[in-house]
Amino acid sequence: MTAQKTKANIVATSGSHRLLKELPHAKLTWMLQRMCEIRYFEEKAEDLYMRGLVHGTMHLSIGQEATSVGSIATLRPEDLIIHHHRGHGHTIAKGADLTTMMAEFLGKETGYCRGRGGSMHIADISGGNMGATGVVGGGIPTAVGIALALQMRRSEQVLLSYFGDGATNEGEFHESLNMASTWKLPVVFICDNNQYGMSMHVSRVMNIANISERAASYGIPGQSVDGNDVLAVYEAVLGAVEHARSGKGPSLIDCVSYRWRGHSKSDRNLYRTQEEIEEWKRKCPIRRFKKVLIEAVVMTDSETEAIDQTAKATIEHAAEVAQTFPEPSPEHMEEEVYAL
Amino acid sequence: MATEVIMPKVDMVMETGTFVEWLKNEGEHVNKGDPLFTIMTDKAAIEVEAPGEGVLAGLKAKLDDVIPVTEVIAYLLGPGEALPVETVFQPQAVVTTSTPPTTEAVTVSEPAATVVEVVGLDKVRATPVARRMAEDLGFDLAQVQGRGPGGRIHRADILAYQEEQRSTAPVAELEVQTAASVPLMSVSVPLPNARQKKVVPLAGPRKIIAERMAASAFTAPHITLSLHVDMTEAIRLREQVLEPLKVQTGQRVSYTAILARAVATVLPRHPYMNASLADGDIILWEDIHLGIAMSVEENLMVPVIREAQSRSLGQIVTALADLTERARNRRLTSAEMTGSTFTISNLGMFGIESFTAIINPPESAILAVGKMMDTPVKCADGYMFRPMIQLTASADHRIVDGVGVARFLDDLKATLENPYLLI
Amino acid sequence: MNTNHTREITYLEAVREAMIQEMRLNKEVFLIGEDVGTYGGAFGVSKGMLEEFGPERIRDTPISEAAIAGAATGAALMGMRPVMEVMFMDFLTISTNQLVNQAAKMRFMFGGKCSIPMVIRAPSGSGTGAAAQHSQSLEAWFVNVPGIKVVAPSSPYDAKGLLIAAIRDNNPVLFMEHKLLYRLKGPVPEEPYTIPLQSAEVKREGRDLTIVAYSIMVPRALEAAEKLAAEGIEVEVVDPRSLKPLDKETIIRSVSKTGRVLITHEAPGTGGYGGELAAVIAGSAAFDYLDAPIRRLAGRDVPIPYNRTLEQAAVPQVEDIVAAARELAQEGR
Repeated sequence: MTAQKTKANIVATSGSHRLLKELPHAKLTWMLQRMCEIRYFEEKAEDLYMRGLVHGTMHLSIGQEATSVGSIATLRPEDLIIHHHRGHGHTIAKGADLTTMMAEFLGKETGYCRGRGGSMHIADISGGNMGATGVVGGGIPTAVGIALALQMRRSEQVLLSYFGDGATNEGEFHESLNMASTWKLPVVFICDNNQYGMSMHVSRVMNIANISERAASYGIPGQSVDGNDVLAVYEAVLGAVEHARSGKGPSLIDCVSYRWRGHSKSDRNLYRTQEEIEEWKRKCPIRRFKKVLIEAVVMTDSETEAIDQTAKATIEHAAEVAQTFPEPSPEHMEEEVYAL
Repeated sequence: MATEVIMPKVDMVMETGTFVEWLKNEGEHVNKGDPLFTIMTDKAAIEVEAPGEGVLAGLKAKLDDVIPVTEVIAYLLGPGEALPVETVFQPQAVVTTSTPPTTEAVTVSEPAATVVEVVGLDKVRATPVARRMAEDLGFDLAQVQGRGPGGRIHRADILAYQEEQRSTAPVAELEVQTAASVPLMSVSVPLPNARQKKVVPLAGPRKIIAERMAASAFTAPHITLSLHVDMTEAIRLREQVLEPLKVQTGQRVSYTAILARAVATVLPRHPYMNASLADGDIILWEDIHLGIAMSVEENLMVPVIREAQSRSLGQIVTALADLTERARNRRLTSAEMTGSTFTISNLGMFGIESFTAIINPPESAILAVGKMMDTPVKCADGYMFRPMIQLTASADHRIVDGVGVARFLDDLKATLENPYLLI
Repeated sequence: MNTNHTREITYLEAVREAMIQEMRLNKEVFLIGEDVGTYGGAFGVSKGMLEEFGPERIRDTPISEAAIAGAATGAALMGMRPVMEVMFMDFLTISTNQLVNQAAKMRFMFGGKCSIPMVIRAPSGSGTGAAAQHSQSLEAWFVNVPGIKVVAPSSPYDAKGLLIAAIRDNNPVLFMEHKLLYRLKGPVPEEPYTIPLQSAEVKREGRDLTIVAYSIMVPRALEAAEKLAAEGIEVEVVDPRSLKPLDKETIIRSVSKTGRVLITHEAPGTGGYGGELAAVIAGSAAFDYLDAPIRRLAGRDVPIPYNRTLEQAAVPQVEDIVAAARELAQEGR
């Protein structure tokens, strides 16, 4: 059976000038700054990896910066996120300290996870980042529990639960969305849809055009948006967050974007064409947002460049400092496994 | 500064990459992200993008070079930039590129089929406890008949063999350098008329202890002297060296270790306290092999710190910790528990204030150490409490007199009360 | 432990009482699982609890073992103390990603900056005719995962004390409840009490041989010991009670005393927990006192069969323990 491949019937608000007027200047600046930091951070991490300083593997989200920034921009500081292996963008958008984060990539004792987690498992519990999971879809049931605790404690906080397009084919996705919907939990499910589960294009693994269509079977709102349009993402997620905060339960937001890099550092990109990659590079979310800001006369060209260069310098500094941090000691590892 | 072009690590297990070709020419201008060169890993050929912008220069890699990851293979020069001073690049000796990385090549060797019965091994089959008992009793396992499956020797077989030995031969001789063997019970006294809880055979280590102690008590005329020592300074010393020595040895300094060091320092000045009686001669020992009495499962053990006179406090701490640990795990060899020239017995940890010990033959003296207690001591404006211990030395009067023992104790007291020469 | 005037209740009631008392004491404790509410749990363990605590804290769920485990894990990550009931231990296979990759790992993986205080209550074991998919004892799977603790009580007294300790523990604790033990009666104090998770208990003293048994094997071993006593063989029965962390000392002390040890459990022998116990003993000071090879008596390497005769033959029964212990006690004596 071949799927009906009518691709991405996306509801988008590309270049939404309404939001450009409504959002405070500081918020727009914050968005651009975070997007630039994510880009430079990942490029730097890739560079350190190629130099053999980062161990293991890593999953880069270059090209997907608008999704993490646009969604997290809707949150209050006390709100929470839980995410996945391609999670550097969420971590930075949620306000992680860049040096501490870089230290984790380098496996340092001062890293977020004291060198025990690495790039795939960054958590910043006190900052509301409840951690990244390396098993596809594995964070979604845990998200149900976090949201359940928020509900039982009558908290006003909401949780954003991120996962990739591939995760929506996991049984855990189905179990969790059904449960969260049944109990009307304060969670927004966000699909970082970069269109590939490792080598498998979404069209080869599901018989629907848009992942958001799955929401209907759980009786929750679903929407697909242009994940390269930071304002479109913001608008869609803001509605879902308000819905969750007011006790109406979860939503599913499908943010369609594209990862420029391979799945992980071992990827040879054998499953897609160079032309396709080039086409998406032309849709760069950062360049696009800068253009929108300049056209709407929110910022000048030199203002956006200043933000860009500041972000770059911040990352360079973080990487430099992080490399000086001490390595962890293997001595008492067993004692860290269990809480007292 | 010129941008370095390196052999990138593109895979978790990658250590080297094989260079295939440059996709740009030397001198050509390249942009960041342009395909720059191709490499071959064990998995696939991959294109590597330019890490920055500039003129490609200093090309150092060619077809089939096997290059370690992160090695610089070219530079991208910006306006006004020059090549850095040349460092000679040596490609690795030819490595077959198809060699799989070791992490993937590991195969777990399967053990042979379960061995049900080990045959043809020239070894006596015995349970661990039977082996240990045989060693303690000095039995040759080959002489013992095992009645377990496959002739395995069990505990019961050792006990039976011991019984057999006892009835057929005189009491096994002991290597105790004392005068003639002394019976354990010199007179036969009728046993009380009471219900018996259990009969424990006097065997193994218990028997050896019994014979040695009886021999010592009944042949060596003991004289016993004691005095009190103010441990204030010794405590201070211990506090000062606790951390540094913990870093150095991984162990906490015990008072036993400090006492051992003090005794080893003082003893050379009192040679008759470190002596043995043998064949009518008194042998004064140059070496101080210090026995430390300890109790393991109800049995006395005296592991020995050899040549204690030439060991630092740290070395004594290490030796003591090692001996204690192995004594508890029953890992001490008999050689490590014999040949001491002087013994220290510390029962302070059991709350014992003072006691007299029986000399461990063939030594000439033993030091018994009591508990440290805050004791009122007279001072200028009344009384003050000082941490005191009582030291009791027992010595063989055939070798040394009371005054000799007193001098030793006094010297030891002075050393402990001004202990800084010990470190 | 057993005072003279303590009332007697069943193992099942002891589990329920532990939950009720902890839920009264601590608002963060709640029960989550399939049919735990109106139905009272598949085995009736939570019967009547819905009436006292309401549907929010006695939470019925969809048949979604992964999401249930995730809900418990996430709530625990937030500092609540969920008690998750899985209907049969076999169904933990569906929860495993959450338990093994999330709950067990998060603390370590995130640098010790969170803890997961949760209990997974799992009715385990065979003997009910429920066949291959509703009768397993999967403890060996979980003890091999750093980050999870595993407890397997054998008496009503232990069940209450260990469950309260498990609920108060700041880590994921897998709490195995053997289905055949649910009706076992025994003295249990009314007031709440805890039994430390690393405390084995000598259930019967003896000089000739040690049997290490847990869960259902403890009453069976005690019955076997009684029979052997009539033959003049004095068996010591040691119950580790918690498999991880394990109180090695009590076991080593007992084996050093008797010189012989029989390890028994219901799960299949190959790769079973008995192998770990044997290795602990062989590698300890008890080695020097062993007067016979360490012996294991485990379930046979088959799925649990349905037919009553086959089912009983698949796991050690009292007579099997008697025979194995007798043989071991007599070896070389």
